Amino acid sequence: MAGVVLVEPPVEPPLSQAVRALANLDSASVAEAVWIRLMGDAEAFGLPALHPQEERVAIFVQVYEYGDNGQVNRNLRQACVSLLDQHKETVYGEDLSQRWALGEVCYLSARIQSLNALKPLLEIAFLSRHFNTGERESFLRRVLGSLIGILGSVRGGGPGNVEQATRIFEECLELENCRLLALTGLIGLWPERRSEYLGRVPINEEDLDVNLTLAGFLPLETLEARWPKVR
Amino acid sequence: MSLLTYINKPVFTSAVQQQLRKWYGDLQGVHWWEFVRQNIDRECFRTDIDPTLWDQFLMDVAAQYPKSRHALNVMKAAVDAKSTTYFLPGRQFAPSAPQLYRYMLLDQFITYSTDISGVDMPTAKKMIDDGRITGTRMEGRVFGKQIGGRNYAVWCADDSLASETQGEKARDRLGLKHIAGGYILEIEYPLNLLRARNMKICPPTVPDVVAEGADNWIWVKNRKAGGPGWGYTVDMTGGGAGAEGIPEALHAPFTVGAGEGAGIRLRVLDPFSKTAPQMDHGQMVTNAGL
Repeated sequence: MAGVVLVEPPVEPPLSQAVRALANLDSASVAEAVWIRLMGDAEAFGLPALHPQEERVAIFVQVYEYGDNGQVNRNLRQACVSLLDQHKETVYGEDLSQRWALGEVCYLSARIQSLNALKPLLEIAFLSRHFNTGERESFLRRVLGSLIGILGSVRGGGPGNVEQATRIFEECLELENCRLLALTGLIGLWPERRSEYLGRVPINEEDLDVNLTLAGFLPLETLEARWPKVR
Repeated sequence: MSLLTYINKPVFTSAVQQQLRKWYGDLQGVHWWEFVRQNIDRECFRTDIDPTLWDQFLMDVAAQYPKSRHALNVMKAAVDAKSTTYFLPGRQFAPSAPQLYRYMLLDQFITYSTDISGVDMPTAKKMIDDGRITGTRMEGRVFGKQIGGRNYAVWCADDSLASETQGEKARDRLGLKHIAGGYILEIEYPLNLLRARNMKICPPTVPDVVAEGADNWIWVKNRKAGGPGWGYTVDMTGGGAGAEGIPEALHAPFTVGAGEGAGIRLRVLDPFSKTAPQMDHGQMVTNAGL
């Protein structure tokens, strides 16, 4: 006897399968479903199987953008906050997969506008602000980029958060591969201090303005006026 | 050639043959799984993988069976146990055109190339259309996926979609059924980037597809004998039985070097918001043209 159980895979489109699976869950279970999909079993909780070229986190973005279910979206946003809180200690851990998964949750938080994720994101950025090599540095960039995405959406996020973010970005100016990101955060939060920051760290200003526009700190029209179309 | 015929050779002991027959039998009776089986059969009759390596893989599958409950997990367990051995097991082939094409969601590319998440997509598209974000943003970054220190295959295509402007059409021809909407980005890059690194371009194989736990099996091996050579996407345009899509292949991730980004061209296709056509694995598995 083989001991193998065959299950007829659902034939519905992945998006509707995912919405249906998540609609039955509260935010704590949604958080569990997100984490398990990132860490291994993609199909836990009835989520659709992975396509060979699919990023593990992508289905949640698709659900948010095209699933048309407000309650699921609210649960997804809350799930991001919980996951960042629960797993922030993995920043220092030796398990590369867990740190990678945490980075994916940071990305998802910003991507689906989980604004309450700002606080745990700041904590994670603080914990990882000195990561300067290899996979840890990539993780830090992921965190900073997510932080910038949320700060750009909320145009700051309150004095306490701005102060903490400023401290983190200033420290990250020292890391060569994080300079452009750190400047994006700093000048996004403090546009009046642009000359001061640029005096401290030379950078391609057009790239900086592109970043500021992507993050939502600088209007597209301002970018286009400063840097006329190149093609 | 079916796997059942293929394993009738001395390299497989009778115990291994028996395990493989049971495992293969588990992939019967459900259309979805029979489509998987068809790809396994094609792996047996084509020469995309060095036969010694394919034989070893099958022996490892036999050794895993039935530790995993699920027939696809048996293959995944075999790959995970020797992830380096079974990373890109396909043999090198030489595409005739000098360029390769990779397709991904714009959202993912922007985060990859700028690190910033949560970006407004129409703005991002305009940045690329206007040449404000170019391939130079990829310099110093890994082109491809690495998770937890492990490499994953980079899927690429030939120039079949180079003149396509509709994202939805490209999605359907590429068989990217998990994408229900958004902007698809085309990255055109020189094959020479691989050659300069002595990296191979190779056919998609069964171990590649299971490596990341991808059970959503809408991918097809070349049905003609021979190899190594391109695999094919499943063209979902008409839904149902599908059709032969566009040629696709794999290579390893690599870091884009200083000065190399200028040779990489980015193009964003028109956005869409529409679920992929409904495919029928029963019809797909009996479709002689697939």
